[in-house]
Amino acid sequence: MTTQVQTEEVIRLRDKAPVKSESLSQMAWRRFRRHRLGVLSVVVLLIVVASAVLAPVIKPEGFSKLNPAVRHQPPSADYPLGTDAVGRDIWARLLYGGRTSLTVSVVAVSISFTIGVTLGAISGFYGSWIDILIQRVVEIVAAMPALIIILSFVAVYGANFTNTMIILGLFGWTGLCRFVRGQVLQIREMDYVLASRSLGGGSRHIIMSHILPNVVPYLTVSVAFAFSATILLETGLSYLGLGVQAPTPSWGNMVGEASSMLNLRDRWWLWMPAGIAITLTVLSINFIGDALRDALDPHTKV
Amino acid sequence: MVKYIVRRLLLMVPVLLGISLLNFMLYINAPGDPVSIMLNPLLMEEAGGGVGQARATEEMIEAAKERLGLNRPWPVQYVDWLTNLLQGDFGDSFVNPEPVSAVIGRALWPTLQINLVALLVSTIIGVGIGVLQGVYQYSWFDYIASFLSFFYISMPGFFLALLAIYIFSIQLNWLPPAGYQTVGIPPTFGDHVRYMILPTLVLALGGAPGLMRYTRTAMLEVIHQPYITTGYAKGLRSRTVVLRHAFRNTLIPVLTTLGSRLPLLISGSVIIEQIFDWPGMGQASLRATFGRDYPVLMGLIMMGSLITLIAILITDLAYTLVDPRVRLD
Repeated sequence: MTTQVQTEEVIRLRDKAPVKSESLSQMAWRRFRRHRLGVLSVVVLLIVVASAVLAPVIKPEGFSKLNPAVRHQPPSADYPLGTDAVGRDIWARLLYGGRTSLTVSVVAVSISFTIGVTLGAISGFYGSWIDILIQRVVEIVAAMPALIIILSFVAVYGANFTNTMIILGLFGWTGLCRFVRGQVLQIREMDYVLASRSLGGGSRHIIMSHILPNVVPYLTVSVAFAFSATILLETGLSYLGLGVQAPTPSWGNMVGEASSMLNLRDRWWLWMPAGIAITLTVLSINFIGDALRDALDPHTKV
Repeated sequence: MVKYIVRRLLLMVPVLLGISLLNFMLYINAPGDPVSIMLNPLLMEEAGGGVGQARATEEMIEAAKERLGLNRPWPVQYVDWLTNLLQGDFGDSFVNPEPVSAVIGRALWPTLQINLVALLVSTIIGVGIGVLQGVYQYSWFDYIASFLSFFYISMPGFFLALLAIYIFSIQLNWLPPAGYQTVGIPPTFGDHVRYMILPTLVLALGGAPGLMRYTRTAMLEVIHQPYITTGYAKGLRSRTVVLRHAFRNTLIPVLTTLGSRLPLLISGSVIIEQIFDWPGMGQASLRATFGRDYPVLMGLIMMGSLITLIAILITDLAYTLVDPRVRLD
């Protein structure tokens, strides 16, 4: 009797307002579009990425054309951001510097992502001794003072473009690993996982088709913040002269090379543009991450 | 309680062993026989000042390796290093003929000065503004504070430091741009404080936003609870409700953040110390990096890791003080 009433009720409701099913990412996207700062940040980031990608088109002559005749020129029509100590165009160096900084960060985050997500998923899904082992490794890596272990790697293996990417990647994965493990631990107890298992779904199938698709939307938030943290670390290392090396420009080493008292006082165009570029890029990534988080959380209003 | 602490301390042992092993492998795998390169100045000294001797000879390198025990298989060297470490002996610096502990000891106090003050300032700013943001959610104050927190979190420390020097030292000429104290005059406390202000300010501005966001979130979680409404309903002043009833619930996230900051007290100001020419741990680690002074770097990593692990333990213990619902183990 009650069952029948309930069923009728369900049918009535369904016919009245047909249930519009919306996936998690569809909902997130719908809510994200309402986040003004988030959308603005996407635009800013797209411009930054586009100018980094198109640097060789915008400035085909490259970033290292010396011109001793125009040393230390303030911004002008010919040189929109002035020139440096050997007459190189700061605007060109800014474009190529962004290319460097973004490339290093993308590769470093990809390395962290691969290690973190793989180990996190294995750790959370299989549990038992594998979990204990992986979590001890996470503890070991996370307990070491990040910048100092990075400096030690630089001392041993040398500072250059490739090493910067590898080092930042090798030490940036623990947060992602813990996050994915936590998510997987929750999801693997869900009824639909049990259902899949009872229908004969193997571990690999469950991880790939049921667990990861439900983690990925939330993962985008973590990846955004990992990305902004990596850009800050890369520029910091390059600023110190321990990351990407001259003559290759990176936003970090551009500021580093220019930061003498004389330049600080008299030649703002040498150090401010790269500093502003870093801040603007990291700021927009952080806003995107924040907007994504709000969009994915049904409890916040957007 | 004691049982719990002992168990946690025992659990630290494998982690610390792992760290020491990783640390040591890094040093053993250093390519290009850095030991012989590093030993050159030492060898020169032994050869009598190195006059007319541009490079150490093979025999000299071998002799020095033999003397320093670097010819033994690495497990033996590792156990040896570990045994000394347990007795508080970090070994000797490669670059300067002095123990690593002397290098660290000298650099510790300057670093603690700026980092402790910065931690205090950033906690007061971060928690204070975070609480107000929670109370006045979606107000102009909330929006501006949120925007500023994002802004400072997104700005690289070195750029913020350079801007601070540009504004306060160059344009306004209020504070010295770099250094520990004025050279050439008898050191006074007031003079030293003037040098401390800029690095501390930059560190504090970098640290406050995180705390602010955590405090705000924690406040928002409790501010709509029925017992807060009850507080208002029975006529309590809003200050009492906020401070006595709501604020206490933000202590857990604040503690977590503070706990994760403790290790940064000694290793969190590498770039800032470099810019402000501050003779602390950050500068020591940079000098060690440029000079390939592995014993110093290894000592710094071991010390930093130990402090991190202890900070995590202290944080967990502090939870039980703040929240009686938290049960250990």
